[in-house]
Amino acid sequence: MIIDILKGFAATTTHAAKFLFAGGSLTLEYPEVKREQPPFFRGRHRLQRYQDGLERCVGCALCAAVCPSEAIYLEAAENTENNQVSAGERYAEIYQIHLLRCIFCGFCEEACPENAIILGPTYELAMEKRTDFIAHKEDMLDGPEKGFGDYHEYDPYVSHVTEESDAEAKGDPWAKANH
Amino acid sequence: MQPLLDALGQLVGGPGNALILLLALLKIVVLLASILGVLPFIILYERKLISWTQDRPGPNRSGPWGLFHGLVDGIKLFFKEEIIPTGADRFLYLIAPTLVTAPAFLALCIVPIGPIIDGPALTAVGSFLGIAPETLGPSGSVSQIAIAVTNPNVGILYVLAITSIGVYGMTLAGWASNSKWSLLGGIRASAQMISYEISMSLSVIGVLLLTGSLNLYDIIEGQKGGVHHWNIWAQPLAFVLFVIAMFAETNRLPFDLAEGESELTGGFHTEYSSMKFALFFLGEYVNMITVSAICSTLFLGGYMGLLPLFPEDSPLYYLAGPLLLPAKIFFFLTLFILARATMPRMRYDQLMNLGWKVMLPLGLMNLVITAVGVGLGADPDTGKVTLPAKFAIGAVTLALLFAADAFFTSKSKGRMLRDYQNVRPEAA
Repeated sequence: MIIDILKGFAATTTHAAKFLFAGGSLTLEYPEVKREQPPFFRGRHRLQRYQDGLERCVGCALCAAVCPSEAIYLEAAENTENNQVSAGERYAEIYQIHLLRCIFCGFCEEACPENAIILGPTYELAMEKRTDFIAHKEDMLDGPEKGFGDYHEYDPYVSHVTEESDAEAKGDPWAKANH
Repeated sequence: MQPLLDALGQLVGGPGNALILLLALLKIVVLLASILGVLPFIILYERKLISWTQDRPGPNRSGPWGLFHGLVDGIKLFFKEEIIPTGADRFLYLIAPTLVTAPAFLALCIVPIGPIIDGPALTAVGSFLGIAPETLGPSGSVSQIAIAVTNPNVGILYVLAITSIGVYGMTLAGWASNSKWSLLGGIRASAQMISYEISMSLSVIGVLLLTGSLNLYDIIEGQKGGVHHWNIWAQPLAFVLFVIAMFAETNRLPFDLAEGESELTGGFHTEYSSMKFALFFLGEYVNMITVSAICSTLFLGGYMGLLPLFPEDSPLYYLAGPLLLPAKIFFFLTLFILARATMPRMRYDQLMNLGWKVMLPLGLMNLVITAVGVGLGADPDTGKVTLPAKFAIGAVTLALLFAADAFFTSKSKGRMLRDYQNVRPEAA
């Protein structure tokens, strides 16, 4: 029994020594290092545009209808010749999502006929006041000046798995795929 | 310095008494400051070492390598809310943490940290400080300075007595919290500590037979001359028993049923918060340091190094001691922390079984073997035990240790197989 206990001590000690000198920590030093999200991660919402800059959202309110938490508030307005905002007859003048009610289920993403509302990879949603949790349209609208990065065409019904991304994903589960 | 002593001597009856008073105060302050100063880093070291065995880096956010973690932990505990449960016996509730912490500090007072300064070294110190030889000198009022807070002649007996008071703290904490889980934890802690004190005392008596004196300085002087003179080679079984008793006395894994985080939701310190909990926490670590220091003194040569490198008249001889003893204490603390990372918790009946049915007989047999060895192997002129006799005692007790290990392991395996026969006959 004593020899077994000493063997246990040897296992622990050598493991600690190996970790101390050879590394191998699995800890991510957040917030200096942040983890890449998997391809269809449901984070904070984004309103997409077309390539030429027109908004995709036509204010049909299907997302508000399907939302199980009633988190989306939508008011539509007409497109005029002078002010063509979206590629249809109407656009969403007021578009707000209450992030504290949202359960990030992705139903709005599935329901949208224009592929406008998508759930992006942002998960850092902490705010200091409760009123800050209402996301307005300008917070969610796509564009590099909002810090969303480059524009990506994202259609949830089209598979974005190519041979390279598949091989890369098999090596590293958090690999960045075509998003 | 002498005028100061003379001035103080007007109050206390002589500059000698004044010097004794000042020395005592200085030693107490140095001991308290060093222990309380190093404690945050011991806490950090524990958390870091356990993390390394689990492939994670440990606390590294507060300060570089997490060095401020102990301080931040203390500040956090200071700001927590003080909750006293209704129906709690207020007086006992409030003094219980001190009854756990104070004996640990008291027992640390007699541990020899360095050799006794007397003779020519004392006159050198006296002339350096500017104290007259009548006060501090081989023929003065104060004829030696021991690098320990105090040096009673009953050294080790005092330690055993003081650690018994620590039992009161845990029992009263459990009782005064007015909560059934705390009470159970307190009762279990006290029963466990009492059981293992007996084994601890028996292993200590083995060392005393070899030394012939209770004074801790005599015990260390008996191990002078190099690493082959250390008591661990003469008393390996006693060393193993003492180490196991060390874990049980400080309520550390694998014996931490009383305070196990997953057992009784905290055991006897469930109802404690803020600074009172901090005192329990502190007391546990100081207890660890104390028993490590006692074990180093009894078995590993105390402040002595592996080789007798320095002659007695060089100042390095007196400076090496305070560095070597902390190194040995650090080794034992690492042992404590690695045991916490390695071993599962013992069930209460297994714990009591080990204490009474395994360690007590082994301690008694160790005592008998040592007594026979000392009786046969003592040098008839000096009365000290010769080195070959010590090695012979060590060999016999080590053989007894392995035989007992095989015996008790087969007994528990037999019990396990018998239980299997009742439940799953095909697996036995």
